Amino acid sequence: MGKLDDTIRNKVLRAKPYHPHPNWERMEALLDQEDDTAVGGFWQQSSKWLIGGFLLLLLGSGLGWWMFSPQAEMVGIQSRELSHAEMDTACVPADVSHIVFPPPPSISSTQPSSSHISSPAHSLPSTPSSSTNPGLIGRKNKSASALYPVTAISTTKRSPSEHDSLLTDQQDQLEMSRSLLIDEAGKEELTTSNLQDSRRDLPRVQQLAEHQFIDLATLHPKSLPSLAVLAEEPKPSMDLALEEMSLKQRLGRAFGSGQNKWAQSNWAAQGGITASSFTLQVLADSSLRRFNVVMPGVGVGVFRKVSPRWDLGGRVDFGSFYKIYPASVFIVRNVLGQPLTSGSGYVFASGKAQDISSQARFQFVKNGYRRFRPYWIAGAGLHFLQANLEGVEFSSSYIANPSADIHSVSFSTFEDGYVRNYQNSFNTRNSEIDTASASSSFVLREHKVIRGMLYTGAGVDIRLHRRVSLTYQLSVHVNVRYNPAIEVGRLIQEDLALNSADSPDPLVGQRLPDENWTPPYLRQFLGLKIAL
Amino acid sequence: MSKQAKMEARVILMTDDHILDGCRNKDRNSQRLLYERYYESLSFACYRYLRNQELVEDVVHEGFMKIFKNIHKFNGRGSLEGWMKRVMVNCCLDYLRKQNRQPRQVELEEAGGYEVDEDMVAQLQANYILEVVGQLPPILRTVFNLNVVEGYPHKEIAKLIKVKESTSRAYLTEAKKLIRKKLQHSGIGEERRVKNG
Repeated sequence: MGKLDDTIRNKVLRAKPYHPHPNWERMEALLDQEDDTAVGGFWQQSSKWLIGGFLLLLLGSGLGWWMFSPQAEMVGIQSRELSHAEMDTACVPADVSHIVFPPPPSISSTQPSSSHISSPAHSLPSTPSSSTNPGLIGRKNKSASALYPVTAISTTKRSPSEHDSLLTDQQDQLEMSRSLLIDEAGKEELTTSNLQDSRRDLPRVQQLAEHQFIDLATLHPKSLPSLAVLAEEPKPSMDLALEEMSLKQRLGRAFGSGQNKWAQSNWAAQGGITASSFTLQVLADSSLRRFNVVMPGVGVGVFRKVSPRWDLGGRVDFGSFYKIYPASVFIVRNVLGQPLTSGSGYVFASGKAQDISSQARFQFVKNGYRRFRPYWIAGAGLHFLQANLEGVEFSSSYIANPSADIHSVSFSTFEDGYVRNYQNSFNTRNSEIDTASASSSFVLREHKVIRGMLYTGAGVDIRLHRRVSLTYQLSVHVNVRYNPAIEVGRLIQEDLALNSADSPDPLVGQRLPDENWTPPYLRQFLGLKIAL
Repeated sequence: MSKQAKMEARVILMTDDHILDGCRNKDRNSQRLLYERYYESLSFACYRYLRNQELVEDVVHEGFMKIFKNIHKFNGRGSLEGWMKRVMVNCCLDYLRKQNRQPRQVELEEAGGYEVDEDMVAQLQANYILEVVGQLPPILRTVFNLNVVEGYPHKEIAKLIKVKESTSRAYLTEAKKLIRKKLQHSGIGEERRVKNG
């Protein structure tokens, strides 16, 4: 049988019952369909994650671009503290006596107002041939390696009148510093054409300096060579923007924050005291009353500069309050539960709140050397509130009717939009003097909520020192209640169960119109901001 | 050289390994080469189970889809053709299972004493033998093809067609008996003999 099986097997395997026709087009269509289905299914199944991921990527990219964009980097660079030695090695030639500058006669020829500038360079002969490249500031030996690197400046075409007006304001500063340098160097060599070229871009220098928060009046004389570099002949370049950035960075390094009166930093910490004014809603004498409560606290925060005007950061605030208010309704009842009389008691309420939020600040003034820097702020976060009415001391006295049998004393209060009613048994009675005094000490339910919080406000930074500012801020906070219906409903049910039998107060167990809405509260902040 | 000739030359020059690598990278040309190289043999393998050309065409394309989709699972230990044939056989069995064309029970006759001259069988045309096998009931044909032609052990056949191993053996015995019976009843005429040479 084995041989027969083999025979049949071989025959079957060799059999060609028909001539098959491969149909690659059909196969390819199936493969394409499968690919589409696979791609479609992938997108369908992962759409939520992909969209979320895309949004996160977009947000991250935007934030990253915002934080690490040249603009932000520029702000960071100018905040760097450089020592004089570092400045010397990085930006200034070791021997400043070799630095040559344009002679001033050309200035006086175009700017009569600057003719008062006296410089020993006036007497020096100009050497037009000493600098073959008008874009370079040469040394005495004229070697190429001794020359400053040439950096092109993005040129903004201005009318001659604009140039003149800008030069009028800036030339004094330049010349003043230049004369200081000349005093040190004792000599100068440069062509008239060089100065003309320099002056052509001087407004640009001033713009860059302002952008870098650099006060030209406070410049160190050694920084002048960089100014001279700025004043080169603009040459058409493909990478003008990049070179301009390089120039800005060199400016920042050259001038350094050591010469900047007001230090700038990407990071800043803030801490101080807060005072939050909010309205406490209480039920007093069967009517809703509001009391203003000031909750002192402390707040700390940290900021990251993402642009010259914008800061992003986080903040934590903590506060607590204690308040005694005549909020309770004092009800004396007889054994039948009938109210005999009522009065007001005092409630000692306490609470604490903690806010964690992220915020953004927009500074109205960009320049760092301003003393007063107002800003606008907005943020969002979480508000943790723990309102405790525990340890409430209630004490009152009542001249009782001798025939009345005082059974209980109860009071109700209204706190933060919720109806609270708590009942205590009668405590003491002095029948001889017909006075009923009731005192009670009881623990009310802790009220803990976590709510979303939005706020906005304004403030001002007042510079006190290079790195220290005094900050005052006023903000309006609004809490967004989390799932209020369930919370309120549950509490009201409990209250009704407690007081269904003997509560004459029509407000007990009732929802108030504003219980789903907490009045906004104000917060003032006074603290110090330190640039890190 | 024409485009068709270039394609044919490429088919000849490329080994299975090259094609395999291309298919793993979802290269459409490699997929086409693999498809065209093995379409015929795999179609005949399917035909042994399905006995319908149109059906075979559908199942073969479906099988190739699975092959291309799972080509990365081929570890290269056996032959590529053997692996693809197993995929095709599974596709055929799946199809038969879905179409409920796989009878769960077959009346087994007692083993008869049909004697067949094996030398005479060897002289039969292959297509005739295939036709004889194809005339078996589907379950018997399936077991016969799996065991005798493909070489599957009964244990694996039992798993594939979801019967007991003993049942698989019984099916095979019955299939062989029916084949011998058909061969004897049909007679091995002169017209079906293959002349040597």
